Amino acid sequence: MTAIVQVQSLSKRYMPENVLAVDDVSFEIQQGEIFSLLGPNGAGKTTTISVLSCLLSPTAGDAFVAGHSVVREPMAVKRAIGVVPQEIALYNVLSARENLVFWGRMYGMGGRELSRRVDEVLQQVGLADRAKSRVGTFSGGMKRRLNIAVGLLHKPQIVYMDEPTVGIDPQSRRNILDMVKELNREGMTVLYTTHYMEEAHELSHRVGIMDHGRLIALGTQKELTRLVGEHETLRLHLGEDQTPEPLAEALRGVPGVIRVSTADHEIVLIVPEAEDALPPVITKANELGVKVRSVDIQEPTLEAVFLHLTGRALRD
Amino acid sequence: MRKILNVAWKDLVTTFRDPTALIIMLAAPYALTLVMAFAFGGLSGGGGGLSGIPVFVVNHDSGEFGGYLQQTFQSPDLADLLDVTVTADEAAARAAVDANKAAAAVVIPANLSDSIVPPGLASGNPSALANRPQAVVEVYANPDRPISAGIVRGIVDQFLSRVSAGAAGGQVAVSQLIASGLLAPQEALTKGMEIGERAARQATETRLIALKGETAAQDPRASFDWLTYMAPSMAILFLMFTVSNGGKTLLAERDWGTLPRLLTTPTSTFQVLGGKVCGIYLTGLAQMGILLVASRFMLGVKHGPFSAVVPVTLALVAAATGWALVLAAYARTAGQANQMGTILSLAFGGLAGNFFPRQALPEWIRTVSLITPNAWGLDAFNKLTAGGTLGDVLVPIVGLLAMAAVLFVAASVIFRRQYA
Ligand SMILES: Nc1ncnc2c1ncn2[C@@H]1O[C@H](COP(=O)(O)OP(=O)(O)O)[C@@H](O)[C@H]1O
Ligand SMILES: [Mg+2]
Repeated sequence: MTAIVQVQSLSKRYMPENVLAVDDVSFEIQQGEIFSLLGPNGAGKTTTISVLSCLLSPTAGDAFVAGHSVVREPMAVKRAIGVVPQEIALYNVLSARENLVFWGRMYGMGGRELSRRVDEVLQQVGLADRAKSRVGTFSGGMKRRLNIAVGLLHKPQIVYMDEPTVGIDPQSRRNILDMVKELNREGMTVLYTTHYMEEAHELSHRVGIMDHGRLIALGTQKELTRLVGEHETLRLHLGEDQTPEPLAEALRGVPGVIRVSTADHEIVLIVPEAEDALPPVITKANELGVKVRSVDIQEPTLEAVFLHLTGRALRD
Repeated sequence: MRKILNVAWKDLVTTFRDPTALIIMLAAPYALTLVMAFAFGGLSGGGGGLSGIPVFVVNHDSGEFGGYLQQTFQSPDLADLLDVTVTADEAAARAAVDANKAAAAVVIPANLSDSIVPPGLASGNPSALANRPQAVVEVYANPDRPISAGIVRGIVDQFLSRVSAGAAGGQVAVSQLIASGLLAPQEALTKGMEIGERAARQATETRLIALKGETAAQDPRASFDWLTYMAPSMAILFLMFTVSNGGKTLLAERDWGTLPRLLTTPTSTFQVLGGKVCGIYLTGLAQMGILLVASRFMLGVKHGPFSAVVPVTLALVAAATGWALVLAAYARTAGQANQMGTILSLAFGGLAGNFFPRQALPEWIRTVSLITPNAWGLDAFNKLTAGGTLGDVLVPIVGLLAMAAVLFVAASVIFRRQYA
């Protein structure tokens, strides 16, 4: 494994406001992974990305991208990265294709190679049929996708995506998440920021949780959830005419079941591994003649991790 | 360099796709040139731009003067400019205007002649002059063709002011003749008619729309050529609007996030700013070029020799761009840059004499106005239209280039201080 990004004790203080937006943050991003920075608004995600894009110089510390220091070799860093900014940064009066050609030239591309890449990324983000339309006529979701396409044009070694799903409909959001996964399957390394726990959960190989400028936790999702000691949740939905209490009582004796609680026509079990616990639970239900209509398995959530570490919900 | 031109080209294309910008850049100065030239000068200059303006003339007046006004419209001098239809059917004439088939209908009331030479005069009663009826010549204008309709209204205005001046003169003359006993009251009618007629005929004969070449040949200083002055003047006035709007986009791109994004590409700040500067310059140059060519070929304005007009324009746009950069560097927000740009453009226009002949301004204002590119540009164009060549405009060219240099340096100092 090679680290493509190495962040070393990075701090950024905004002056003259004197806001410490990033506070002594260190992490690495490995080639080929999706690394998420998860944190509420104002946590310092965009500021971190701005420093890694050489838009802001760090107040302390340094970061290396593809082996180049963001402080000393900004041009080499910029050549290695593709940036998808949080705010859509496109020209509304230009068409999708014209935007891509313009931005491609800013990456030093040109000629046939550029027009071939423009076609490719248009295909990739599903905008090939709207290539000639002006961006001003696009929906929010389409603009978001084109915003991403610009960051992919020059085949960067890593692409930064800063909250790329903010303010769009669920369908477009689905599109973008699938696109990110597809990109990653093709080998792209992704730095993804979000304040949606579900997105970080779905996409990330590893997650850094940020709050108030600090990186408060870092690791794979398994590592993070283990940190809280959280287990999986099994939720049994019973038929309308069923009372949960007798089954719940019986389940308390089943090995591997840690906690049992009941709600209307529902039994919630806390277990270390849902796969192991499910067969004996179903057997017990059959023995007692209780009809189980459906079962939900909830993985331990990043939300819970954040709650555990900060005492606050992620979205407050 | 390729990246600089890429940014500049993007700005040029963007501006030319913005309908509001196009109105301010091209339509407004062109229309204002016509309106100002006509309002002050009765549109001298002729040429192919405006011709064959369809006009309906409805003459209800059986007297002399209605005929004179009708003849004015039908005079050979106006034959190219106007396409006149004389009809008795007032309703049809108005309908033609409503249907956009005519720019205006001129309705001459039945009492026009009576209002100028009252019938009481015929019975030898001089006091009839004092209570003449009021007559109103109506110009029923087509709102879709304001310039053409304005020209028709102007022709009627000029005719009426000449006739009423003549008639007033006639009235005084006749009364005086009667009072002094030199004229018998019975003769007043004939005499009054004579004087009035002379005035009216003079109105017909006077060239309301003189061809520029002829006027100039007769006496170059006799009449101020408003069209020739206004065409470059309005172009310069609106050049300032265009470049300050270009300067504003520097701040707007910061708000749109496109400026930060440009800086995440392997492009230096120098290249990005250089591209913006080139974009402003090229947009201004395109605007000046289009307006000068349009006034040359559509209005027949002769701006002077190509070899002199080009360097003047290049230097002028450079100086204007310099002001735009200082503005963009100084302003904190795009909105502020917009307001400051408007104020600056109008102030420069007023100071330099973009709205009226610069030559008529007091000496001290003319001196103060040399801080504006407008003043130098106007001086240069005035020299060229008066027959000057490149040698005559070297001073304004050097002045403009020096201004550009100073402003570029000032802007980069302010920029550095702001973004340090
Ligand atoms: N340009 C700026 N000047 C001053 N403070 C800023 C600026 N940008 C962001 N901040 C502050 O820095 C902190 C982190 O912001 P940001 O990096 O945008 O967080 P996130 O992207 O996680 O929402 C916030 O408190 C924010 O108010
Ligand atoms: Mg952010």
